[in-house]
Amino acid sequence: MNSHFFARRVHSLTGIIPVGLFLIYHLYTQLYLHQGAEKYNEYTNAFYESPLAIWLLIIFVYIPLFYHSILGAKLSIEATPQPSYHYFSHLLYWLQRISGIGVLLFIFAHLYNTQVMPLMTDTYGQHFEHLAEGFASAETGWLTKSVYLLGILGATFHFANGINTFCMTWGLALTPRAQLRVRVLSIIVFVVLTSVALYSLSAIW
Amino acid sequence: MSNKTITFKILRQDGPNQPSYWETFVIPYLPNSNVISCLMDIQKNPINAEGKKVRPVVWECNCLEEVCGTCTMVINGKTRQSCSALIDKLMQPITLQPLSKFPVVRDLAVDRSRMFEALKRVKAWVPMDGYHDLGPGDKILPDHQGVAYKLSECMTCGCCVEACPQYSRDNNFLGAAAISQARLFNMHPTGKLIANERLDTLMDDGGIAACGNAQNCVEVCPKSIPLTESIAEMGRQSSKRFWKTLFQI
Amino acid sequence: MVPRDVGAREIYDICVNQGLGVHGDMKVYLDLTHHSREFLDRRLGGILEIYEKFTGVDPREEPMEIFPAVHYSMGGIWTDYTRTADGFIDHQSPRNQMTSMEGLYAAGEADYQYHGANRLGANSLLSCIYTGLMMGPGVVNYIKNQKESAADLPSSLFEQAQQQWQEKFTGIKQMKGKENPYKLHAELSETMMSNVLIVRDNARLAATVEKIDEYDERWKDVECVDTSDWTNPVPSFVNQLYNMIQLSKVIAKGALLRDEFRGAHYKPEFEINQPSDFKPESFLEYTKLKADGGLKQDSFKPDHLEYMRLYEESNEKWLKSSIATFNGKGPDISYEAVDTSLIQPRPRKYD
Repeated sequence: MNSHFFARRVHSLTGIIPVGLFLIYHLYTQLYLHQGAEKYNEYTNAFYESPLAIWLLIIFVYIPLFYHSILGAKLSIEATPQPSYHYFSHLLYWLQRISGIGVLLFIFAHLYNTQVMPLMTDTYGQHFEHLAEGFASAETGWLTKSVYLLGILGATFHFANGINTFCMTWGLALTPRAQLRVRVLSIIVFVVLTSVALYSLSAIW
Repeated sequence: MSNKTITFKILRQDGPNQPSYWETFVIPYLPNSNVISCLMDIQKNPINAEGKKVRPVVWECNCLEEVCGTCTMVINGKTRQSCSALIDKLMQPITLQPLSKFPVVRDLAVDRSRMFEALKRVKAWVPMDGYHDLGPGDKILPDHQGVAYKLSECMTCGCCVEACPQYSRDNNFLGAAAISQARLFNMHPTGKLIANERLDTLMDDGGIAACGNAQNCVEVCPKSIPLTESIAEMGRQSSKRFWKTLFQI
Repeated sequence: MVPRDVGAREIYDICVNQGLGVHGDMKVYLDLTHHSREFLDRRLGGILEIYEKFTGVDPREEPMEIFPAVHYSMGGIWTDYTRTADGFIDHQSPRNQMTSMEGLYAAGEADYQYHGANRLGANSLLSCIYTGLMMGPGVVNYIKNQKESAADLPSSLFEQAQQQWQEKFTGIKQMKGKENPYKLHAELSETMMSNVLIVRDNARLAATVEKIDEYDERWKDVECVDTSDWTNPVPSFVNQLYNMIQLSKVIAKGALLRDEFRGAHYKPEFEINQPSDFKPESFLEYTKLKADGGLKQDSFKPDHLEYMRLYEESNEKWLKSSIATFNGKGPDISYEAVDTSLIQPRPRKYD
């Protein structure tokens, strides 16, 4: 079996397992924002107490994530735009690529903002306050809010739409009727995840 | 006598490595015209809109009834057969361009041998090992025929790969048509004897993994072949083979 | 279901003679709307879709508008066959499907042998299967008996032929007349379609033969509108146009000389009216009685007898294939009798 095929299948799989599942888990954990600063920080810091945590993150999240996004970015650049064809699926195809690259950039910014900067300024541990300040800032608050909004929408869209292409790639949805059902499922996933994320954000908006 | 006219803007090219150039033709309107009948009218009076006498436009056609796939070109930005492109349904000026995914031979004629090579790569035939009498073939049930007939309508016209964002001049992607033909022959009672060989090709460079699920192919197919269904089906077959070869079962 | 020539004549009659075409045009309705959509999609899906695509009308809801069109030429290159003593074909003979040129074979739709005056619907397949079967073993036998192969012949033969054709095309590329070849072709087409199609009439056929001679002259004044050296279809087309003109002469002259109504060749002035109560088997009886010497005036009804006599006379004169040979300027028409030893001819009847 060809290495390119293998690489593409791994790319497809990583989008769901584990990256997609991590997305769901991460958006769930942010619901803790509604429990106030103390509870949120406690919960978040508890995760990092285990020495295994960082390794789990690297092996099961960061590596698959960067594999998925860097291969994805490469594939996006190789595609040929077909501007005369205005079909819905074609639009989704391009949104998938744009959102993918957008979310990759967002992840860099997000990691820098929430992990790297606190470590550098020795303020690590005050996750809630750090986030809330970022949102409340007079000069850059609007930018921070916009970036998070786009990042969230991009991520939930990319994951939900990815469910569609996953089912096609692996042949789980064959007929147009089956593909329609998967599409309905993906829309539900998108709506639910986005609502959960926005609800969490509303705690510090 | 109506002085209605039809205006064509045609992207021409004198040879494979020559520069392309646009040329405009204005011809008298005739009811029930299609793009090919107009190109034939240009042949009869090959004078461009500036009044200059030029060489007639070169294009390919054959059946004139949308069953052979020869006359495919890009008309008003969309890929389709020119024989069934009725003038009354097209916005003017009508632009004609050769298919962009294939090397131009001259004017609107391109070299689509890549599609034929793709069919050879997926072994799009029923293998026979001789001309001796093999007895009666397996019966094919109506359900099978219902699916297979739709797939067999493919005329290798090139519309699917023209519209595909993943098919380009500098890759070797098989394209939706060849993937669908692999499905057709993997379904056939005798054809399926070499199903694994076809799957190996699909799992190789330029195979099914090169599909990005843009789904333009199924929208532009003139025969309404369920291409995305075929691609999903072959995705399933190749996934099964993926697990088998991975774990050597 | 009637054969196509009968259908074509009916439609022609309705449109031209009775003036009852749709909106007075040359069209009649073909109505399938009494069938269910599912039935039509299942049985005729492909062709109905094409109709809809080209006309914008859904034939499952509204009747289709149709008119006969040319889609096949009956007749073609003369080919031979070896007849066995009992009237069948010697499968192994190298003469099968050989043309009048030694070693040159013609098969399939290019040849003339088996459809006669009327090709039955869906019988093109017959051409492929039959000629393949008859020709294959024969060609092998021909090759086996050859002392030399093409590779043994001097290359100058091929070079000469190549040069001949190159000169021909060079000559065509130098043609700078005032006739556009595609326009001339359209005129030829119009002339043939108007005069040598469903209904034939000697006056018009004679005029057509003259007209085609004119086209022949005008061809010499054609302009090769594209003289480039790459993917240039024009010289080929000009060459083919010349051939089309010659072929049109064959068709028109053959039609002019054939004074009868047989199969698709319909000349109303030579139609023999078949009595409505006539049965084709009567003719078999008639020929038997004639052979036995037992034919009497009252053996059949007088109008049947007269009809059969005329039919027999017509067969004696015309149950022959027209053969055209090129005399340097046009066709000479001769005739080759049809072999009726295996099946006795009898009149057609379709009611």
